[in-house]
Amino acid sequence: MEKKRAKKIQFNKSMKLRAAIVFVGVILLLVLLNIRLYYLNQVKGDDYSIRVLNQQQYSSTILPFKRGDITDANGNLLATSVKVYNLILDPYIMYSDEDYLEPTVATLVQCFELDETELRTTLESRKESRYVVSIKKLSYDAIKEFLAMQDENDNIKGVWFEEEYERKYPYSTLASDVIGFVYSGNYAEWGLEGSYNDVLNGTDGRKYGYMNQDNVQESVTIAPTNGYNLVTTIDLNIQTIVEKHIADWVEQYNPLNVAVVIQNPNNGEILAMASKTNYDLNNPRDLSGYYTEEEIAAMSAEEQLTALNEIWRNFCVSDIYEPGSTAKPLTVASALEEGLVTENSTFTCDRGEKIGGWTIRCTKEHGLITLAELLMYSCNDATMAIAAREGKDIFTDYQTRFNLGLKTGIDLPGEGSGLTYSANDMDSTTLATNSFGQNFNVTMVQMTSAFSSVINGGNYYEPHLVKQITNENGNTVTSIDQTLVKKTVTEETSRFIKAALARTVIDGTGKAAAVDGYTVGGKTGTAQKSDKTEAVYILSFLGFAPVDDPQVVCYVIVDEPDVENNDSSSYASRLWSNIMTEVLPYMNILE
Amino acid sequence: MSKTNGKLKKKQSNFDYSLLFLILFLLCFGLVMLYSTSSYDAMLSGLPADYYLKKQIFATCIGLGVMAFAAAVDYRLWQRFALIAYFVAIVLIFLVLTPLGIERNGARRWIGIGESLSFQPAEFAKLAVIVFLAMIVSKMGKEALSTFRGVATLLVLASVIAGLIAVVTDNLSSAIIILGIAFLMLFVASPKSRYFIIMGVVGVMAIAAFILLGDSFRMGRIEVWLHPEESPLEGAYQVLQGLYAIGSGGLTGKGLGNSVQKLGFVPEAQNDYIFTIICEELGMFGGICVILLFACMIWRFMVIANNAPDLFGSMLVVGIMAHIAIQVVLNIAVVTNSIPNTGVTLPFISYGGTSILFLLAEMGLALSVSLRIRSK
Repeated sequence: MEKKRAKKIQFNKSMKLRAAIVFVGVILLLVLLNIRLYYLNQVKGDDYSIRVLNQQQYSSTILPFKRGDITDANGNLLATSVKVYNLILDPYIMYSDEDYLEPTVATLVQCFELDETELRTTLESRKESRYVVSIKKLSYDAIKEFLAMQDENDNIKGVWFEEEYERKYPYSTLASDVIGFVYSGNYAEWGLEGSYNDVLNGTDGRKYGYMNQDNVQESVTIAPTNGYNLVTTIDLNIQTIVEKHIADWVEQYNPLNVAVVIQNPNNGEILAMASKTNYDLNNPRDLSGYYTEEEIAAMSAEEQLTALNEIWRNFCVSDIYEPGSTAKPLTVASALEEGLVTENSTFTCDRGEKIGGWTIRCTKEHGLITLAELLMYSCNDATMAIAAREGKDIFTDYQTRFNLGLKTGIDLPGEGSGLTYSANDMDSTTLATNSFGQNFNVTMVQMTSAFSSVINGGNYYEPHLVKQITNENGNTVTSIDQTLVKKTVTEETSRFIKAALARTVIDGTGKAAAVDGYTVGGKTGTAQKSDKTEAVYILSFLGFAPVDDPQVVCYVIVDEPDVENNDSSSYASRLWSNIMTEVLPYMNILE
Repeated sequence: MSKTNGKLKKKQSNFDYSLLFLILFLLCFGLVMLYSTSSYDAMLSGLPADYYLKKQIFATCIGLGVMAFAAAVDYRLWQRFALIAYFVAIVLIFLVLTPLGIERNGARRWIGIGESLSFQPAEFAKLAVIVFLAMIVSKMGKEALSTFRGVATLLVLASVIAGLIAVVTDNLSSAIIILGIAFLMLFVASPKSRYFIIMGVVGVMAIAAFILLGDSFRMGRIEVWLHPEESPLEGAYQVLQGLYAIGSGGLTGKGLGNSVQKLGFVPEAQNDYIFTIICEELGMFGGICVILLFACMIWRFMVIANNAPDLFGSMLVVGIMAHIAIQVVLNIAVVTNSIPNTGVTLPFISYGGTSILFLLAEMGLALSVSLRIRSK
């Protein structure tokens, strides 16, 4: 200890020591309190949690919100929530007065499919309980009779109905990849249910019972806030037509996959979207439609989930593949934009070109052809010549402008972004093969949206599936109009491509796509799959109608049909024609 | 100067940013929890959901202004006002008996004009006692502090205020806090340990006697403490519901805003029992984090006290440290039913305008001391 000369002293060592003692003492006390907290949690926690639940059951109940509906563009219900009732028994009340038990049990047995002895055993064994769930998810019709009888007889006591909502999908498998489904607890990940989960959900309400100052039980109700509804751009009828034809094609040609996207090119609205695998939204975990019972039994839980994820996956937005010749209109359009070719340019096709040490072949020797004929006959040689004029910088610049290799921003979860080369990584061979749609990967939504912009005058609209969000009274909360993302090409280029693609169907490789009574245009695609050793193909047709004022763009791909001439794009073109033959009249499109 | 300045070797300002951060963090956290706990209670009384929150934000803003002012002004200035503050505290306590006094929940503890402009003299008294004792100790000299007479005199001076608060405003918990502060300050200041050991023992016995020989009300509290589940008394209900809240929170809680117990089960959850709702919503994890924050804060006070430029500054901060420590320990001990129920609020977090205002004034003083630490 320090000696101080004057009376006045400092905060000396002794004081510091004492301050430290106080500090340590306080910390010790706090540690003890932590231990006490731990004790309350670990030792008493379960008991207390049950007590909290118990006192809640008679004094506070949750009033569930209704998750919003999903409808198609014309108001047909695609997903809705139906109120159901859980039958709850309160044995404590039933036994509280001897007049209650008998009439209550009798009425319960009469109104519901309950076994009397079983019911009595349950009640007897849980005399003190206030909350026994008896039957779940009853409809209102099923409980009507009981409610009426309860009204008449005051001795029917200790029974009440807990409200809940059950998600229903009236068209079960229709547009399953697009709509998605809801896990328990109003949570969804897949489809529109997933991407608009928070919009569709509301807030639970509550009914509280509490003791007021005079010890009288009172109750306060906070009403639930229901979720918002979605009005989608999907048209139930178009979607049905598409799915019918996909099923037809699957049956006839047994392909790995068939997928179709139909879009309104003038605002980006998706009218239909489907692929080979559908699933029942009301029963999404049922694998029996896809595997045999033995196969399912042999699967581990993890394998089952992988299989389910494969089924739930939306091919049209998530999966990527090489587009093939349907990319040629994009290459031609970009060269026109840059002034590297004109409508009158001619090319000589000599059945292929040697580029970067590889000979890249054309389908046949087209000879001297015009720019329009390039598209009509799908000439690889001429397309490569154009790309060579552009060079890799301009070419990749236009890929970006057409949003290839980038997410489109569609309002569905799990969108793939594709796989394209950057200018730095691109060699001359890659540039040549990219020009006609090989050696880079896209999603169907990317191709559809890029193509729509080329034939609508150059406006790239964000593809979307929801056009309106409404509240429970049907009033619009948010209107989602077209979102113009960028300009891709000029009107002039657009006009030329439309005319050339119309000629492709009249007199070129796309003849099989023709639709009686309508002018249509489009481009075929036969993409060799580079990830497989044998020669297998993704066949496609990407087209529009009518030619003068396109109202609808439809993209069809057929993956590895099980046929002899498996490189014939006609398997896609004919399907396209079949679909459009029904869709165009339905849409009242006039020539 | 001697070695007293030395342990922290900072280059420029010694302003305690860690303490400032802890204060601001606790304030913000407190406001979030206050809103979570009080909105239902407010709505039940037909008030807007943010009624309590707004009042608390208002008091917090004024408090922050006061804190900034107190931090900026040299704390040594207050030495001159210490004696005056002591007497003002006494006067304010007596004002409760005049028409200026306001009665709430059956206790006459507030003074003010109308409902909106009111405050608790007890809160001012705590600050006054801290400043007053720090001043006397720093003036007294070592010999006087070593004698029983010296120590006893100071304790009596503090007891006068504590006694008045207990009797005049019928606020036993504030009186205990003031006595506790004085006890800890003198324990640190005086070199004689045995006085305090004796005093401690006598004090505990006195409290025990006070309760055991006291009226049925106090005995009731003991009964509630020992057997909360069987007692029919109103206090037992609160204690028990608080315990349910803590116990049902689990490790990580039910999530912010998801407490069930605040919905009318824990009465006035935004006051003394706010810690139970923290435990219910944020779990044992959240509760321990809050305790850790307070532990850090108390540690910062010790560091500042050790390095303060003079004894007055050191004792001031020791008093503040004692104040926070006692309230935190008592509050959490009460809500976990570790000790019988006394109405002690959790600093910075519980609802209460006067409390927050004077707490922030004290924080300003501590920061002012830290700002004037001279580096070696």
